[in-house]
Amino acid sequence: MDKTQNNPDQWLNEHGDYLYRYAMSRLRNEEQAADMVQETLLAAWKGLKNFSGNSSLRTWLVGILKHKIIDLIRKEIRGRDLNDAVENDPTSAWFDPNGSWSEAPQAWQDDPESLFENEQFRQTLEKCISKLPAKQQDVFRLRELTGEDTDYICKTCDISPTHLHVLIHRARVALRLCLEHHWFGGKK
Amino acid sequence: MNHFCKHASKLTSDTFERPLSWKESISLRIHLMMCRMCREDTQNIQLLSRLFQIIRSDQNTTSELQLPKESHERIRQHLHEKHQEKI
Repeated sequence: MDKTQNNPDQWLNEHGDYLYRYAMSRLRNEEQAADMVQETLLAAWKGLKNFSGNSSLRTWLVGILKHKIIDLIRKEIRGRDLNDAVENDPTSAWFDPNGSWSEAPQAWQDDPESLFENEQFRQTLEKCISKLPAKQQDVFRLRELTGEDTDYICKTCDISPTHLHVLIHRARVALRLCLEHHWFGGKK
Repeated sequence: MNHFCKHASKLTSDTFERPLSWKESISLRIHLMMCRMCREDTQNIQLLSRLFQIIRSDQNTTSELQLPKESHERIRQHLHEKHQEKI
């Protein structure tokens, strides 16, 4: 391979870690993240003539990576059980048919900073998130853990903003229910 | 008041997602003034929201994460093979 700047080997050394971190923050799967880095570098090399040089090389690579990740997530979501279309509605656990609280919520007294430092709480939180139904969990992770905006999530998951807000609401209710039962509730 | 709690819960979640209409905004605010249970619940939503903010910013500052050596080598090999194919 030539020793000039424009070879994927060089890119791997200079940008590999960064691309990997980026992919990991969205996929949370080491093998998938590494694959994405590989696919990105290959695609970039094939499409090198499309690199105008207006942005930095890294920015360009990240752009390619973003698209690859979106495609991967879409493929996974399509592969899920299509019966997820009827998502569990946890709001029925909190609210009676009139729409009022069936169980009075109690404000949790902890502060978020100390909860964050508490390893056991973090594990409980992760367990509760993992128990969310697939589609709710997907969008919830993208929204709250990765911090993606509405547009990105709607485009990636192929849903309308309205549907997204419903899923997020249900996820939040389910999460609060789960944490109430498995963490905060015991402290009463 | 009673029928509104479930709806208020949705509106509160939506305040984190989109701008509420002025009508939604006012009705939510009035309801929260009158309903202690929804106020308690809103506190919990805000706590969780703040918690996730902390988690996200912590993730952004973990700069030690590196491509594992085996993956690095595997990718390097793969790129090299592809290059050989090209020649």
